[in-house]
Amino acid sequence: MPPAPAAGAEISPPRQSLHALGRLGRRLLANKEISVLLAIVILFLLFEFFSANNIGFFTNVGLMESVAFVTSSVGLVAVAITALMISGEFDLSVSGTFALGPAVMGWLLREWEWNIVLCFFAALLIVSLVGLVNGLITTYIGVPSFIVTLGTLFAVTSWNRLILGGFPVTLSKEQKAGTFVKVLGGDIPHMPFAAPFVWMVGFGVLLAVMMRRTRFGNWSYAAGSLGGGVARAMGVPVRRVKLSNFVIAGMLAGLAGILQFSDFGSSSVASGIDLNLLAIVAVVVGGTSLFGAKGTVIGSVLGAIILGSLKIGLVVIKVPAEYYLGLVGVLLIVFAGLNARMEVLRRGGLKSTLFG
Amino acid sequence: MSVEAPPAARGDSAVESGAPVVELKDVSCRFGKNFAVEHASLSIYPGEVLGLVGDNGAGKSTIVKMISGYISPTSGTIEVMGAPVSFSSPRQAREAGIETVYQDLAIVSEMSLWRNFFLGQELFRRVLGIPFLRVSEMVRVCDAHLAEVGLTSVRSARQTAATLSGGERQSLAISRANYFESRLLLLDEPLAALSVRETRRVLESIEAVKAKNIGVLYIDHNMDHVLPAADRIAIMHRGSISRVVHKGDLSVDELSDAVAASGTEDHVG
Repeated sequence: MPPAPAAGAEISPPRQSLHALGRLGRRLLANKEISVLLAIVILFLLFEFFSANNIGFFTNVGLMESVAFVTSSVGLVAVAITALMISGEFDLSVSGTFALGPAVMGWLLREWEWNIVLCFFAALLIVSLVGLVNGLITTYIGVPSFIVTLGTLFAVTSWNRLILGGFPVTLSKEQKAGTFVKVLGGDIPHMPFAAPFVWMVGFGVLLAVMMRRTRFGNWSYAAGSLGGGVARAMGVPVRRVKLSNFVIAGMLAGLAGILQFSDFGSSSVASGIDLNLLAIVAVVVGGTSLFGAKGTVIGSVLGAIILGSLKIGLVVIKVPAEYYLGLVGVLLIVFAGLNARMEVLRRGGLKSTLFG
Repeated sequence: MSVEAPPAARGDSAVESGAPVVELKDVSCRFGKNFAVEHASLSIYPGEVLGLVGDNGAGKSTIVKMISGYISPTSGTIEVMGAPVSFSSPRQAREAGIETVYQDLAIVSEMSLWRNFFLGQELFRRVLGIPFLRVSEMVRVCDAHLAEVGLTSVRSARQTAATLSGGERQSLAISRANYFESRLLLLDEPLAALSVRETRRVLESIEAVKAKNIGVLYIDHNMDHVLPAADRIAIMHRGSISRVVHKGDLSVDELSDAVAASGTEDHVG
C-alpha cells in the first residue's frame, strides 16, 4: 500500500482537475456579464419546465415576442443611462423623456402635419435638449443629478400632460404601414422580436464599444471615480464628458419611447411610467455601480432581458402578476449583494468584463 | 515651444544649471480679502528636487493649484521654460508638460493599470473621426514600463489599480512623468501614510524622474519627508516664501529649527 501523501504534497490528478474547474468557475462568475447570462439561462430553463399546461417558454415564439417587447423598452432606457451612471451621474427623468419623445412626434404629426421623418428628428432634438438641461444644471451649477433629474422628471411629466391633453397620440394605419415607421417599430419576418429589440441590441453594442474602446469611454469611467477628481487632474474634460452622457441618456430614452410608439401605434401620458426605476434595476443587475466608474453596457442589456423574462415568465408559471414588482425588488437586492461579494474575486486582478 | 535665454543667475543658485523649467514671479492669490499666497517667487530647475515646506494653511496647496491649472494667480506671472503662461484648466498645464501627483487623487482604483497610465493622454487612432484606443499598444508600453519601475507585485498592465498598495500607486503615477517626458513633476505629500519600505520605493521613483532632467516640486508639511529627496528647500509661512536654503548649507537640526521658527506664530492647523 502506498503511503498517504503528506499535507501540502502533490494533489492527485482528479483533484487537480477539480481545482482547475473551480478556478474556471470563479473566473466565469467574476465576469459580470457571464454571471448575468447564467441567471438568464437558469430563468429560461425554470420557466420552460414549470410552464402551465406545458406551453413552454423559450420554445414558444409568441411568448418570446412578448419578452422581447418588454425588454426593448427597459433595455434601451437602461443602455441610455449606463454610460451616464458609469460617469458618476443619475437620470431619473428618463421615464418622462420616454413619453415626451412620442408625444412631441405625434403632436407635430397631428397638429402641424409635418413629414414623419421631420417629426421624428424634431422629437429627438427636444428629448436631447432635456438631457442637455439636466447636464448643464448638474455640471455647471453643481446640483446633484439625482435632484436635478427628479425636478425635470416632474417638469417633463407636466409637459407631457399639456401636450397630450388627456388624449393619446396615435399613428394612423397608413402611417404605420410606411417604411419609416416599419424600420423603427415594425415586425421582423421569421424572428421572435420586432425592430425595437434590434435597435436596443444595436445601441447596446454601439455603446459597449464606445465605453470600452474609445477615448470618450475611458474618460467616462474615470469621470465616475472620486467625483472625477483624478480624471480632472489628468486633464480629462470631466464636465464635457458628463454633459455628453446626459445628452445621450435623454436622446436614447426618447428614442425608446418613439420605438415603442411605432410598434404599438399609440402613446399616452402613462407611457414609460416606472421605467426610470426599472432601468436602474436592469443596470444594477447588469453589474454597474451606483457610485460610478464600474459597469458595462452589455450587462445592462442582459439585466433588461432578465426583467423582461421575469415579467412574462411569472405569468407562464401561473404566479399572479402582483408578485412581479416584489420579485424585481428581491432580484435587485440579490444581484447587488452578489456584485458586492464578487468584488473580492475581481480584486484578484481577474478580467471583469467581456471587453477587457 | 520657444525657449528664451536663461534669466540672470540668482545669487543663491549653485546646483541649478540653465533656465528654470517653471518660475513663479511675484505671484499672489487672493480669495476675497484673504491672501492665500502673497508675492511668492520660486524657480524650479531641470533635474532638481525643490522641497516646499510649511504648516497647514501656509499656502502650499494654493501654489500647487496655480501651477497645475486649477486656479489662476490674482497677480504676478508663472513662466514655463521662460514663457509666461496662464492655464485655464489642468489639461492645459499637462499639455505644457506639468505632471501633478496628488496624494489621494493619483490613480483611479476601479480602472486597469494601462488605462490609468495613459489617462488623459491615450494613444488612439481615428476611425471615421472617432478616437479609438490603441489598446494592445498601450498595454505593451505599460507592461514594459511597469517592469522598468520595478513594481514586482504587478503581473499585468491589465489588472485593476485596486490591487496596488499606496506606495505602488504613487510610484506608478510618478513614473508617468518619465514616460511622457514632462518638464515639471508636482508632488503633493506623496509619502503620507506610507510604510518605510514604500517610502523608499517612492523616493527611488523620484530619483528616476530627476535623472531624466525633469524638475520636481515636492510639497509636504513634514520636513522629515522632504529632506531625503530635496536639493533645495523653500520654507513657506503665511502665504509667503520666507526662506530658500540648499540642503548642504544647513544641518538637519538647523533646517528643522528654521521650519519650526517660521511656524511658531500660527499653529492653527
